[in-house]
Amino acid sequence: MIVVNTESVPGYEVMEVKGLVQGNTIRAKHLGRDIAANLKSLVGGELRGYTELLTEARRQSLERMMAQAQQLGANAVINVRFTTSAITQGAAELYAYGTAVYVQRHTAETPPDQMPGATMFRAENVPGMDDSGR
Amino acid sequence: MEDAPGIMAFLVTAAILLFAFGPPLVGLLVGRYIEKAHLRSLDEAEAALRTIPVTDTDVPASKLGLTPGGAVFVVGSVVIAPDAFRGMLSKLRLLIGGEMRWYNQLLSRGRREALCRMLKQAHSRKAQAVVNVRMEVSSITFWDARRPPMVEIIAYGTAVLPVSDAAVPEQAGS
Repeated sequence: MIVVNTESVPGYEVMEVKGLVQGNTIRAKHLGRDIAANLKSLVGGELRGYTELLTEARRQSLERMMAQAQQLGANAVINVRFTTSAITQGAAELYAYGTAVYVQRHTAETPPDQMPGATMFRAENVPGMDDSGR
Repeated sequence: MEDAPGIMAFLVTAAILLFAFGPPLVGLLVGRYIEKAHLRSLDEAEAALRTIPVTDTDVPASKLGLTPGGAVFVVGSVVIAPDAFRGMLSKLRLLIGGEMRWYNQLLSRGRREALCRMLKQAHSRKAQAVVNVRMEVSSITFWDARRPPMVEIIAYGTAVLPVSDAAVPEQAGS
């Protein structure tokens, strides 16, 4: 699965738009890490335990987003965005969303301007965002 | 035995002073040292990664003079907190308002670190460029005067891969 935050995939052409896909996870820190981080914040700088925790959580939200894209029959997700927000004291939500698409590689026979899907971003090609998609 | 109250008073005063000014002092001295070491390592890392062009717009790869072989998502993140001395200064600053200069340095350090981590990922995939880079800062703690304000800084973008290293889209997984 190709994941990018650009509107197209370099070297590929978007053939079909499958719709919006998303993944989220809410993570709480645990007490041991909290104590270590509070000690570390005496001298400031990076709190490595939290960096790891959030990196891991972000990977999980990306994976959930990709699983949804796969269900829609997509082979790439474009225009991916992240948001992080504090939910309660000690827990944060990591959210990733993007547009699932089907892409095809440029080849010598079909250079970029001759690809059949050159103008695919039309409203009628975007499936409705119904509630069945979680 | 007459000077027992004197000793007690001294100990109590010392304990209060240590409690009030100990953490900021440790933060000032150790934090400053750690910061200098970090800035040095950032300078080195940035010099090594300068070969990869980075843009914050969705430039077509052809405009960068590249023949793209594919693309891969790259992310760098870091969670940072101010030291106890800066925390104390910022409480004073809240009384009179104005610029919190000591936080500028901290946040720019965090941003550089996040960007470096993202670029290192791009470098390990032999990327030709990283386009559409986005930076985001988010507070991961609710505002609470007793706790240090922690912020997460993330930098993410699309790394343009060379033709030889193209990812095959039909293969699932990152």
